[in-house]
Amino acid sequence: MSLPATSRFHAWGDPDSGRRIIVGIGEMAVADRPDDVIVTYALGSCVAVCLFDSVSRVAAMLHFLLPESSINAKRAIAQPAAFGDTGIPLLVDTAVRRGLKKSRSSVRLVGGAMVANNPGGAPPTGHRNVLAARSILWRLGLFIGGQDVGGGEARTVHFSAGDGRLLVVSGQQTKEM
Amino acid sequence: MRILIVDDSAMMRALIKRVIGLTELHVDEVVEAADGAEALRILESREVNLLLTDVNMPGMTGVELLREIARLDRWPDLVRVIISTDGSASRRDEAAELDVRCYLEKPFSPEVLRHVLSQAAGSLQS
Amino acid sequence: MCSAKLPDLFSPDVTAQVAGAIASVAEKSFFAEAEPCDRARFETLEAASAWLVATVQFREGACAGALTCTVPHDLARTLLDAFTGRDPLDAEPDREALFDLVGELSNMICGTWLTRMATAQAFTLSRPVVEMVSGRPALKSAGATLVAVNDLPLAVSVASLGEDAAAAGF
Repeated sequence: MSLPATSRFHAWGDPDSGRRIIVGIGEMAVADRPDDVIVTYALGSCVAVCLFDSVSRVAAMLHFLLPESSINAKRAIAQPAAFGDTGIPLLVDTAVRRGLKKSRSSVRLVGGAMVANNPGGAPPTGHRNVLAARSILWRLGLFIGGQDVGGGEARTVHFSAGDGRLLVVSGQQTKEM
Repeated sequence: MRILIVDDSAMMRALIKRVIGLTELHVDEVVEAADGAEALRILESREVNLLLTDVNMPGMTGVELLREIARLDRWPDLVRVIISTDGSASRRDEAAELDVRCYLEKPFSPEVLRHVLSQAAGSLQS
Repeated sequence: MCSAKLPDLFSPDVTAQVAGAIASVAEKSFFAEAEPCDRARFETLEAASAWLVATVQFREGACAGALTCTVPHDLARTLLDAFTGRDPLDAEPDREALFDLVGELSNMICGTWLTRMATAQAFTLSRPVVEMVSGRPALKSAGATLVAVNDLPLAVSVASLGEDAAAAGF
């Protein structure tokens, strides 16, 4: 569904009406105030994992860069959210401690694009990130309720803690999930 | 609700059982059988509401099981679902004639199985 | 009579079709990426010393054949964990579970390939027969489909068993 440009960002993190919580690459956030909006920018091959519990109104987002932490154990200790296999369990644990209940939560994935500067024909990281997220979420007993993944363009995501809506901006297109 | 899973692969039965456990369906019991003959013995010994069966199995196949269920005509309210690698038009037509409510092709994601279970359980209530 | 769409099992098209089936199964049921690779790359992919070989026979109309899936033990273990949602840090699964998993993998690849090739005609699959061998097995068929699944080797070959075998059943 596309939204008219003028209404795109109204009540989505307008500083006058709520907090904008920015999640950078290799970061995560959990929000539980109804006017909080979690935002992440420039999702290329990275994947954003978004959890929402509509009863406790807890929203959680992870923006991870690579599927497996085994390629850089030191970084995984310092920044577990950089990797899917360490970041996603951490996201779920943290959200659960803040009141999210897994059995009633929705999970959505955004990102995993094939970016132009994929070096030397290496396997597309975006696709691997999406597969890794699906695998880890299955292991954690969570079903994926929706996804906006793949393609060739970076995405920006605005995630409302009030009602769980995701606004995904990619190029000239805006989509609500 | 009692669900009967029929598949000669224990791994596949375990996966289906796990998905059932993670859904919000009110399930009293999940029973398993490795072939059609074992499934029939179970059907004759206790009430089953939802049958999930593979097609290609040693001994009595899934289609033979469904034909026998139709012939015996003892379980008119049993909701029947096929879960199979065979997605051919011919097999699907055969399934439709055997009162199969949903046809799920392998391989499938957990989300797709969950959706099929939800549809099948919905049939039970209507 | 075979379905009009079941082709010469040794044609290059078959390799591409089998690769497509492997990719679909790998992604949907095992959350894994399967990339076609050439023999040179395939031989260099690191793998455990023990391999599992699963063969499933198929019959489609009057045609009969067998699909063989060759998987190193470490890939079989990874795929089992992904399929069942087990924690990779859990204890090593037993041999029966690994054999079952590789059998089901071959079953799904074969079924997916046949469904795509034949589309209209139903087919029958035998129960997979699985064995474990030590050392990288020689690939029987020159037309084997070679893929790297999460950078580990997996090979699938298809052979015709001829019309007599089809008539005889399994």
